[in-house]
Amino acid sequence: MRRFLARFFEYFVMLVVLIISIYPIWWVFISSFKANPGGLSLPDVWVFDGYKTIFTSLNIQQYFMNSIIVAVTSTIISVLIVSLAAYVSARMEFRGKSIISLMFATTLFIPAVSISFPIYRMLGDLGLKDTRTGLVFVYSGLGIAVTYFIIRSYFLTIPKEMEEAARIDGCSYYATFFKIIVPIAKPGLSTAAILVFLNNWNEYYFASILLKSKDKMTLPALLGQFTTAYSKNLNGMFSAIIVTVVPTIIVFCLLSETFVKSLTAGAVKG
Amino acid sequence: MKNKQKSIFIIVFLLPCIIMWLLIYAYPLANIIVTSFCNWNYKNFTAPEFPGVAHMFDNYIKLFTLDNNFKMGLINSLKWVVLTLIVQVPFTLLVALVLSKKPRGWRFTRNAFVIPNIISSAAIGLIFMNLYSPSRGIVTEICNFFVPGSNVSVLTDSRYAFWGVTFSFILYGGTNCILLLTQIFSIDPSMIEAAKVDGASNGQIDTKIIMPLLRPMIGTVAVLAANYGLLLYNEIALITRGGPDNSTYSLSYYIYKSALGSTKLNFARGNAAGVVQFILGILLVGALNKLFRTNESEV
Repeated sequence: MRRFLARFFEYFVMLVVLIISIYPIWWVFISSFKANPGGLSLPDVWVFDGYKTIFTSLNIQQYFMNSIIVAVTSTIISVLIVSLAAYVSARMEFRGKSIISLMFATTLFIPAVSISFPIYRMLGDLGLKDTRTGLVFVYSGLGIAVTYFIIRSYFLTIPKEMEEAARIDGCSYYATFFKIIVPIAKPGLSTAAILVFLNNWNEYYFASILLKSKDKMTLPALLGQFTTAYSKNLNGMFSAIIVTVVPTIIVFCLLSETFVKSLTAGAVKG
Repeated sequence: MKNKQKSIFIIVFLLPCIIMWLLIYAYPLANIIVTSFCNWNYKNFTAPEFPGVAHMFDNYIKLFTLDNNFKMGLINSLKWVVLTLIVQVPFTLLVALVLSKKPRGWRFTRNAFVIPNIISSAAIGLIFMNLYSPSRGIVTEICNFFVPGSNVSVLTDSRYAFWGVTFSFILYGGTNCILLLTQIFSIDPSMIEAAKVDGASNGQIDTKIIMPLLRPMIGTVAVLAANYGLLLYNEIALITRGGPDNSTYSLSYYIYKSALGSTKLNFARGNAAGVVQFILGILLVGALNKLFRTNESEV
């Protein structure tokens, strides 16, 4: 009996988790096919108007491309510059080394919203306000601390002999890094890259304050617009939510173990 | 010669990241601290002015004495911190303990639990905004089923709006659950086997063996969750826009509203609130690390 109750309790908890995690998205998915979205019922007639309008009149492909361009570019820049610094700090001895790590670690305590006005004004001065370049610039710098600690700890696991051999063979420091270390460190770099990409793909606050023109907005910024501008086009709003979240969910389902590893590394190092 | 080469290499490799750090973190942080002591709003929005030592704390004094929106934001943010600690962390821990027994479907449940954390919180916000809508949502419908005629309108009623925002994030501890699970799986199975041989029940194993060993990770999870509560912005911007009657302001939402979200462009006041948020964050992390003794391991 006690065993049965314990089992029952376990499945009850799991059921609650499944409902709260899946049902809201499922509800939006079903609603997006209704002529009048909402309510608890299944659609009487399945309509695809919402998807038609967002691909034709709203042109969601454009926002999708913006998101991809911004997230991919900033992820590459961020992982590249951080891995350079992380490599030097993992491998070389120099004065002020511990200060470098400390400098990056302090950023974990700086809330993004609190420092957003100076960044906003700086982009204005640089002529980068309302540009994707400006957003890429901000994303490349945000979150350097977590990336730094993930990549650095991966570099520390690579045996030093690899580089020493390369150096004896006459490789320069630069060639050693790009030809020997980067290929070996790929798993660590991709762990960091997934996490950075996910954050940049989903980022809403800076996208919403920096981008004003519609044709430059990322998907999260577009979703923000729905709270006011498109609220009459309900089918469009529900379809846009689905188009925004489904790619992430599909990629996650395909690579769930890799994602789990990234999320764990990110939080623990952070 | 060789040393010089090496020094140049070190500098070349460190420089991009340091420049980024200076531009995105160091300069803005210094800037908000300095300008929080200045006058800086729509009257002089190109150049902050220092009002003299006698008035340098005016922004802070106004925040805490005159500004009701700030007080609302501060109180709500602190409430959300407490709620993440007493609701999200225990719930996540419970789920992790259940899943760690590897019941059938545990992996699927774990992955499903992570999904709300990896999709954009703007999307989550918009989804909940619709769920709460009286005309198309389901919350009103469900409430009417239990209390006929109640016609709850979560977003326009200041009694419910705070809880509407809260429920859009408070149970979503998927990522934290993974952290706890990973830690539980790294516990030496022989310890648990030994306890079982001695006749300990599953509940006793959870509370007497697993939870003490898990303490540092619970501390980490508490810091992450509480920080999320303290910094809450996206859900508010998407669900309530701070309303009704500014009852769902958070610190972050206040900061946004003080300058970029209003015509008064009160950058100085917003930056002062930013400094308050920054300091609160540090105090919070410090307190939680001390409480959970995160940096000491049990074994």
